[in-house]
Amino acid sequence: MDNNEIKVENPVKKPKKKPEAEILLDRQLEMKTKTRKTDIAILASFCAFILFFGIMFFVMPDKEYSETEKRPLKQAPSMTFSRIGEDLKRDLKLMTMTETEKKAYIAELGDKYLVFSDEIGDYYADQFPFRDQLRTVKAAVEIGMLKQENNDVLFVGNYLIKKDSVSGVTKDEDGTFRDRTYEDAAETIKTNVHLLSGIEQSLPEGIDLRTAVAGRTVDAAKSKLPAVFPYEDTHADVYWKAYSDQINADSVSAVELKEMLKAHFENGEYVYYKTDHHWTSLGAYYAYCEIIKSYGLEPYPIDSFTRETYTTSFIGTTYAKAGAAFGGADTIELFRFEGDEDYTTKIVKGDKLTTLKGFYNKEKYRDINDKYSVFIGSDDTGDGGNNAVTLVTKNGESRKKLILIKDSFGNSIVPFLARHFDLVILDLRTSSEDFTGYLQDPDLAHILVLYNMETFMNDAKISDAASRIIPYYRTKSQ
Amino acid sequence: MVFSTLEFLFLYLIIALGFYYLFPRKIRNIWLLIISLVFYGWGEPIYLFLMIFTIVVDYVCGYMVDKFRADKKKAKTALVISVILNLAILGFFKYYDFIVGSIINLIPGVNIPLLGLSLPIGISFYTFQALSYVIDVYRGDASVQKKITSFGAYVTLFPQLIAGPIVRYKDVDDALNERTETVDLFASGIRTFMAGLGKKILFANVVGQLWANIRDVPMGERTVVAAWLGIIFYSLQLYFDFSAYSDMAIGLGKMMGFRFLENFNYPYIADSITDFWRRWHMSLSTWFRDNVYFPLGGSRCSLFKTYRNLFIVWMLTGIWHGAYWNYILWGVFYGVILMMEKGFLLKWLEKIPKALRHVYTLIIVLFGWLIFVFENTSEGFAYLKNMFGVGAAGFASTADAYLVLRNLIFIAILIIACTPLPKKLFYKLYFNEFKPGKVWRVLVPVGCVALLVVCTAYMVDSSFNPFLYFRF
Repeated sequence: MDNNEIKVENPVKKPKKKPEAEILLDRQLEMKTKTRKTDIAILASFCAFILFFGIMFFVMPDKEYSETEKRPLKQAPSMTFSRIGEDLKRDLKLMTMTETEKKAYIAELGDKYLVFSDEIGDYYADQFPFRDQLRTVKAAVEIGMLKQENNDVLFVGNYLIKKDSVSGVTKDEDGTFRDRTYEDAAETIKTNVHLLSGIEQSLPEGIDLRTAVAGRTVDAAKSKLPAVFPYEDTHADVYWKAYSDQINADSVSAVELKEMLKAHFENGEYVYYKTDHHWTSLGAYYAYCEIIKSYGLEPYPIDSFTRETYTTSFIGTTYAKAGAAFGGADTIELFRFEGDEDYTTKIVKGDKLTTLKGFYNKEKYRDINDKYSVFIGSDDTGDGGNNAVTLVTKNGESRKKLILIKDSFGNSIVPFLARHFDLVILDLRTSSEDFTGYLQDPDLAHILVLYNMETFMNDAKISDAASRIIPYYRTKSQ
Repeated sequence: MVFSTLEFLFLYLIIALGFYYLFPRKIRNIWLLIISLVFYGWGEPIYLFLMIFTIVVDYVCGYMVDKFRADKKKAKTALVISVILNLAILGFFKYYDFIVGSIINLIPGVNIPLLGLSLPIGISFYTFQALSYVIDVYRGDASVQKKITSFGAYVTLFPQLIAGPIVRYKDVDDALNERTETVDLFASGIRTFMAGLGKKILFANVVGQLWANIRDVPMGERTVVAAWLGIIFYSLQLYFDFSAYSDMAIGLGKMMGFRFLENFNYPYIADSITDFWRRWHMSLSTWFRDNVYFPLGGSRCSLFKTYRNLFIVWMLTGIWHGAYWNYILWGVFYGVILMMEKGFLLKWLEKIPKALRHVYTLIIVLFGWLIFVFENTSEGFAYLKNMFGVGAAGFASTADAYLVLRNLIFIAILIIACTPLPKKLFYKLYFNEFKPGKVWRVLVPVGCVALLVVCTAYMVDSSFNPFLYFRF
């Protein structure tokens, strides 16, 4: 309190020492004749700026989907009198509730709990003019200040690397939702491996199951990360320990991919995209070799393929998060081989069918950012290459069958595996429909479960596979 | 609504200022009232009714005080009614649950329901403003406001409505009735607003995220260094956040011809706690000084009473910040330190080197914020123990090194920005004392736009934009 200076009762009459800032303001205003032109310039540029963006926001059409960020964008919230009324009613109701009642009520409303002002905020942020460029500005400022990361993506050399990949929510015992932690993810990994061992044991003679989980960029790039970077914060070691411990405990037939890819990466090979979380076609080729060898077969040598450059301007999912990339765009290569157009890829979704000659949907995906969908991408599904069911056959030949249960990493390995087997490719994340019909095929020889660690710890839907395959063979054997 | 959002800057502000200048002078206050009510009702329209009630009550009370000026008793009655009603509203919405909860804790078996009301945003600020009007009129420091719309505009004035500064009526009395908006004042307002916007978005939100990361680490996993860094980050966040809101408010005020008093004067360069409180949230200290401390006798009474007055004021200051025990503790903490400084500490401090005085002040302030930030006092205590190695995960970790290293430049900028240095330098260059001349004249508008671009970029790509004053 100011009592050291002020000894009189009424402070108003006592002249007070002005704060520095006010003295400066006074001086500044005294100088107005000198600075008049600048003042007008400041005024004009400020008003022009907010007017420009304010008007552009209304002039530019709203976008449904962001190609750069690969996610749907918030649309304009409806503002009607009935909505205002409902919101007021809801707020009144909330006012009369206790904290716990409030939480329960909001949880019950779930997605319907939308506060108009929040919605407007999200709508403005998502549809803001030049959003992509502005995000790049922010990333540039952050990296310019040597912060080394933006939005939890590391900028390491030319590479953008996601630090951790836990996602989703989980329900606690008391019924409230919370974000999953890395410990939850490690649990999921163990559960998934255990389920896979259950499937493996249920299979009859003549059908085998292989589990292959690929590393993420962060798993391969460990030695390239900044010297003081706390690698334990990525929790990568926790995940892989959970994985290998459970593999050993349940004696699951697994194909090792993580260390193999890491070695290639450290060797300077382009096995992961710089701006995307997927492996490159080269990375997929190396994985294919390991898998095929585990079947006792000989993989096709790398020089039996012609490497065709599909695009040199691929901007992927990590970029979507990071907002900028200083190592340029990625190149997608297609490993072509003689006769690869004699293969047929059929993508089934409901009554819609996309048939590809070969494995690539080149036309549809060339001009948009989602270029990775060139691999077994469908015309209709909107799932990119992650179609619920994809069938690959070689024309005029009947071969052994392999069921590939996969995430998007599997899309780019298809051209390699197809040289050996007819493929039934299932993406359980896209559809939970019954696929046991494919198990009846007498030519079925292999089931390959191929994921990358990110999917495997989050939403691999292995339990869907187990709940279909295990009962199927149990009833058959009875 | 808050200032640091896209919809404020690129929708609300355009409409508010656009029509403000389109309308003739006579109806500008009415427009201000309308647009301020929209601003207030944006997030929680339900509390608009409360706001309007406050306006009407204080308008009538002020009117009565003026009308019965000759009859001191009646004037006093009107004043008392206003004080009681305002404090009752504030007390009910802010402190009901706290008081009832404390009673339930103290006396087992008592059954009074808790209400769990959400606090009307800015209620502590606007209640104090409305009160200051009736008090100023009563004291004859300001003349009565005949137009309810102008009075309403004063109470709801959107620049300072939700996070201060608390504007005394007598300071804007004249401007409310007649003010001249000029290009220089507008431009000065833009500069002030931009400084605030930059501080909020580029400094406070970013350093606040760092603090949030450290706070969210489970107990037992935090290192000693991380705990100290955390509380330093929070101190930086709070200063930049709060002073940013004040800057933006003052800037917006200037754009419409108002000159509000400064609310912060580089508090972290203070060399004693007495000095700190002359520099931090000055409008609140002034309010308590004028309306509590002096009426109680201030320091012109017996030593005992002086200390009692100090204690009461600081207890109230604590409670004003929120209905939790930690705020009271925080107030009392400062009360005790200020008493000690008054009694003997200041004399001691004068004898030690200046650098040590600053260290002393900053350490006290740091621990003050530690009390302030944890509403759950046992959590705060655990954090405190963490800072001294109890229950900590070692002294330091690679993660700490990485955190410091990657934020080195950022933190350096923040520390420099806590001092008057940047502003002094700016004025020196801008007002030509260095005489490099014209370059700066061009650079300032260009810099202004550049800062706008960067701030917009951070607003577009950010999910972390907290509003810290919902407890006030």
